[in-house]
Amino acid sequence: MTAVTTQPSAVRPLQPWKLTTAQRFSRFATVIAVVAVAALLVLVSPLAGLAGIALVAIPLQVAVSVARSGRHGSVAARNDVATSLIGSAFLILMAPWLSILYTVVRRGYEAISWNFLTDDMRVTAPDAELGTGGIAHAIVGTGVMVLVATAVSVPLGILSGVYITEIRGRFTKLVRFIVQAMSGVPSIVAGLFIYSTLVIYNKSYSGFAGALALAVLMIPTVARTAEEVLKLVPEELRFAGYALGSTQASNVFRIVLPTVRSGLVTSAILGVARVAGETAPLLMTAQIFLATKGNPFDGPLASLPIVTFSFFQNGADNAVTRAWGTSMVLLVLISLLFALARAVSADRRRSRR
Amino acid sequence: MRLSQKSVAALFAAVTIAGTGGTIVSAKDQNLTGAGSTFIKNLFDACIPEYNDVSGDTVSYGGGGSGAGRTAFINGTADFAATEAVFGSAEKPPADFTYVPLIAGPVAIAYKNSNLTGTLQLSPVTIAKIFAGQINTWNHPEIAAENPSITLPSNNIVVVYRADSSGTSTVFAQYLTATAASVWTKAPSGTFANAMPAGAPPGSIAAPGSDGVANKVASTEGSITYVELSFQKENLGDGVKAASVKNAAGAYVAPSPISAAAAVAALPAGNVDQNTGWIRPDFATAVPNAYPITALAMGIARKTYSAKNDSVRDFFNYILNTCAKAQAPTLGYAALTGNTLKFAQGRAAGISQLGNPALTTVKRNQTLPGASLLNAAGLSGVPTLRVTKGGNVCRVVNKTNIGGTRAGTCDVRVTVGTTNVTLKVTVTK
Repeated sequence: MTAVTTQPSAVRPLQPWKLTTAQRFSRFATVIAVVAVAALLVLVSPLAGLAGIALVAIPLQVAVSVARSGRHGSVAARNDVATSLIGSAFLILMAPWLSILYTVVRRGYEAISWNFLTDDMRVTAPDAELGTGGIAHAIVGTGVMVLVATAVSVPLGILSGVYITEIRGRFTKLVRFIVQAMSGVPSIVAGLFIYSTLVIYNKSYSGFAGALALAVLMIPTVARTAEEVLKLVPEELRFAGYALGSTQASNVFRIVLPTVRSGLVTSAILGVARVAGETAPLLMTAQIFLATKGNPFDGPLASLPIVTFSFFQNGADNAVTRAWGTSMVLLVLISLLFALARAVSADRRRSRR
Repeated sequence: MRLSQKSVAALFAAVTIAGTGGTIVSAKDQNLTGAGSTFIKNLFDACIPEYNDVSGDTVSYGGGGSGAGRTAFINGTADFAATEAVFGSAEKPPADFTYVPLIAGPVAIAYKNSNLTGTLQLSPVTIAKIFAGQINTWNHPEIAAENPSITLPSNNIVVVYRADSSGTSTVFAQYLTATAASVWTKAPSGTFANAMPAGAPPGSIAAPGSDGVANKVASTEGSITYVELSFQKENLGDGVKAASVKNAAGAYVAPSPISAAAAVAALPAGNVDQNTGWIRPDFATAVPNAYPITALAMGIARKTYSAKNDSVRDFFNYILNTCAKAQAPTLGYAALTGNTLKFAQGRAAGISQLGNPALTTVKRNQTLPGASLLNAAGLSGVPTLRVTKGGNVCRVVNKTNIGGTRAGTCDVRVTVGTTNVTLKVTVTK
């Protein structure tokens, strides 16, 4: 038996939205011209700086696209105007982000050296020469606390996700409501909660207390992401499992969870990235410690945000540069985590095809 | 490697300390946590790494403000604290706490007026009238009377004050209450707006933090504020100058580490609380070269013996005897000198003494001075000693000391006046 399929050969579908090279060039030239005119206007008017140029250029570009597209018919006109608006919106959105990145790197790069990543501030003053001392204590401290917080919150978060999507018991709505409410808890309240229970009781700040405060903030992120990825599992898979006679437990642990393994990893990474830069809860739970230490149960523990704050409070030039350097390290670490999350979730999409 | 580094450090410590009278007893890898005053934080930032280096301890100071430091000390989360304001009546510090004066710093009257050349001179009453809103132009006759050699511009005075609750505000309000009571009729408060007699003057500006008020003055022509000297120095390039202030001796003195040190070198006995160790700054100082608006930052520590408290004592001694002298001038503080330094050293020596076994241990055939027993008992005065148990182990020598006759333990009752404390004395071979 042969399947008879007729392939329409050599007929390519039309793609009227694609621009020819000439069109691309003319659009690019228009944008350049508009920005140049805007810059000229800013020079002769009381407006100033990049913001002034943007303020003139964006409406001008929209106006130009409206005027120019008159001869291409209404669809093309709408397309042109929409493209200009979306392009401008993209630039406006990118500007603050790029500005933050640029500022952090420009002011912090001087502090970065191999020593900065491997030494601590135990015997170095915050305003000492750059190149002496470092933030190893903060990197290790943040690492330890985030690790403990992950160990506490990821199982809880995934289990509550499983309860909401798989078990769907009597408290499903309540659990979902509480998870949503928890995600709205201000981080300082999480810190106060741990302070008033664990810290006061132990009469000591500790890395473990800091980790628990972070876990309080991490659980809702993990739970909600886990719930979302678990919803993606096709019902047919579950039905097939039950049809083969599996119990609910083995269905969940041997079919549903392995199917979305990478999604769950993503949820954990997103949770980590959510809390790695938290300052407020650590101020009253983990405080600061100047030596490199890995034990979360033995007194205060440093972290990248708190060390940044402490450097900044000192106010001396070198201390402020160190503060920027520390935030640069934090930014890089969080970016790496997000990139990892993207890579893992991209992997998931590919494997499902 | 680590060991040899440490012994070198200990040697260095011994050498440094030998010349200054303090002692670093411990090198026991203690981890200390401190919290409190931000006024003193820059000094701690400079001194803590040095101390960590020479002692082998690791001290970490979290700052957070005087009030937060006192709370942390009461809760036991901080091993020591620093504050410019005394424990409030609602606060319940542990019974064995002591204040230790650590450092002084001048509060400058900082102003910006581009048309005003030369240094402004102000008396306490004029300052009070400016901050109360009764004098509101720069060429007001009362300012002119004090500054005959300066041409005063006619623009308005903009008062800038701290929006947050602050130790600097408390000290400044206390100063105005003490020296210009006729104008400054309200009680001092950490929140300056509550301390102003007629509320905030029209056109005045509130800003948070020492850096906040200093930056506001730097950007506002004709403005004036009160701020720690180092913050005025940082903004000197923007035209922020510090006025000379008239003291009780009748001299106009500019704020500086030296003039602030003079203000706290010889404090009247009435300003010193022998019981807790608290010192009130002397705003009516009659020392000719003393700057009157000078704040004192106090350390808070515990007198009960523990290895940690031993390290706190060593740390405070290091600040008082070594680090403050070296760092204070560049950071804009005034290191303690004279009687105040002696008093501070005495208070620091009392840390970690209650029940300290080193003070109640004596070798066979040697004598234990009564002063050690007094410290261990937390008493002061002339003691009466009596062996109440183990008379064959130790005996009273010359009525004032304890001599050990053979190894063992004995009980010694230390009596001063009507209070007595019984200590267990150990005699070793």
